[in-house]
Amino acid sequence: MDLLEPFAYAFFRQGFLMAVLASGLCALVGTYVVLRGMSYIGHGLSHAVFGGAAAAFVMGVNFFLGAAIWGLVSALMINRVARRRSIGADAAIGVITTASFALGIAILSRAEGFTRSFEAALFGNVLGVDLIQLVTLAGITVAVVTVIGLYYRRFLFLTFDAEVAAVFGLRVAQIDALMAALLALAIIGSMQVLGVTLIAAALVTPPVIARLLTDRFGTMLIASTSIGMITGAVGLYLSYFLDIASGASVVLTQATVFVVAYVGSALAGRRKRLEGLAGAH
Amino acid sequence: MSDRLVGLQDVSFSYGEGPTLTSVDLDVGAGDLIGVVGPSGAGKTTLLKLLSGAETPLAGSRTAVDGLRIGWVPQVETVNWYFPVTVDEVVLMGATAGGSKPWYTRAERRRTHDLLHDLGLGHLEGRHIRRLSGGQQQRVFVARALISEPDLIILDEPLSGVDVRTRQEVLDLLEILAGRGIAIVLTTHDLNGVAAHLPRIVCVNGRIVSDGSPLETMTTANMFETFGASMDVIMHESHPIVIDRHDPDRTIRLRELDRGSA
Repeated sequence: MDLLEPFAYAFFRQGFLMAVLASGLCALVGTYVVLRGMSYIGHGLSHAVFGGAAAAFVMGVNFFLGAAIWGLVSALMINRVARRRSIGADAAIGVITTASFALGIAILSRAEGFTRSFEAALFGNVLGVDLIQLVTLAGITVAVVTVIGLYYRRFLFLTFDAEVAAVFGLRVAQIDALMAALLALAIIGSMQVLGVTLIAAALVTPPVIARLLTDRFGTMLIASTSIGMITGAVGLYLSYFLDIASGASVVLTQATVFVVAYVGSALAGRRKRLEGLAGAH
Repeated sequence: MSDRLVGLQDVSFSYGEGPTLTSVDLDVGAGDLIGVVGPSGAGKTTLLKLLSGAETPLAGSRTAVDGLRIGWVPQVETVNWYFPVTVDEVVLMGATAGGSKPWYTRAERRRTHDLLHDLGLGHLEGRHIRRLSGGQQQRVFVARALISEPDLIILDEPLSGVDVRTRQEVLDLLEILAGRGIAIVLTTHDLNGVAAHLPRIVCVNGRIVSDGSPLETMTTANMFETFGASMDVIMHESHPIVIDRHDPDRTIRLRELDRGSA
């Protein structure tokens, strides 16, 4: 078996880059999502974006444009509704995004000729990647990384304690909206390669693995992004040989790393406690 | 009182189920050290939020000097202690607003280092916040407030759930800061702690019941009006001490209530 065989194909090379970028991007943005206790938003928003993509397809509008507008509006609506404390973020996400997903299904069930793209959008398909999508994802990645670089400190304060950040003079509502926009962009960019149903895992799993490895925010952000990129590469590579959907392969790779990190950190924690006990004598 | 930094004039506020605060007048000046006391649900935290500008009065007005800088020290129970953040990262958050650079500058890092050193936390810069004692955790958040060079520091229940030594440490630190001209306003349930350390007490229960020195405010009548409970006030080394009064009638009433609900 030639281990470099998949790289002989242009479609694979493009798909490989796409998977690395998409997984890294999701892992980067996902760090904020996980730390804000809003893991469910990734799941919800990816489904909501699907509604926008479906509507765009039927109306003959650019897929990304439809998904972007729809995703952004959904993210802002979630932010708005979640601020009502009697409702809470999880319920707000549930209400808004499932309605949007249902609308997407309703539109598609009336349309014809979308079956293959439909499947790709749901589960991710590296075969469907074209250069325009790759360039778009690269553009989104550069934009997201730049904004996170510029807003690093404000995002950290807001994620740690939004209420106090407001007292210290941060414009919480605007920063919140910006974070929601970045999340929507990350989901739209990653949809083709990871699939609507699996993006949530790509947003959540790498940050959770990184959290097991560090207590420092800056380190967690870098570790999460690196884990996302590496598992994206490994997952896509394995998908070629195992002949499974790219999104599923990436997510299963991440889940495997999570299990290893979880067991490893539990063992390390136990050893540290035992050392502490020995040190006490 | 020295020049006013921030004030509330005839302020009323509600979250929708009856008034939370009614007709509140309160002035805070540079170097003031004020303890706000009152029962749970009396509107103490709301009063802090109104002072800070985090909430806007529904009636009345808030006035503040131009460019007023406020540091807020949250209640320890509201802090996410599992958040992956170290002592220095928390302190640097305080320097985030006000046109700060996207990265931590050398001057900000030096100031963080100096502040932590001043507060006896110099050796803990890179430590995770959960791995600190109660007193150290409080001081980290005070350092975060201080790095913004505030005119006013607001502390929400800084003495709740802390041991006696930590309580004394926190109150001593606040006295030092007030001595440097920083106004301090805190809420607490610890009546005797504030009576011994703070020169000004504000009793709140939906309105301001009394505002003045411990001697003026900590009277049996004021305590009853504020807390709806009978308390005796005795003097010890010129400080008022509030003690709970045993009321046999109350015990009987509670037993009857208990029997009634059984």
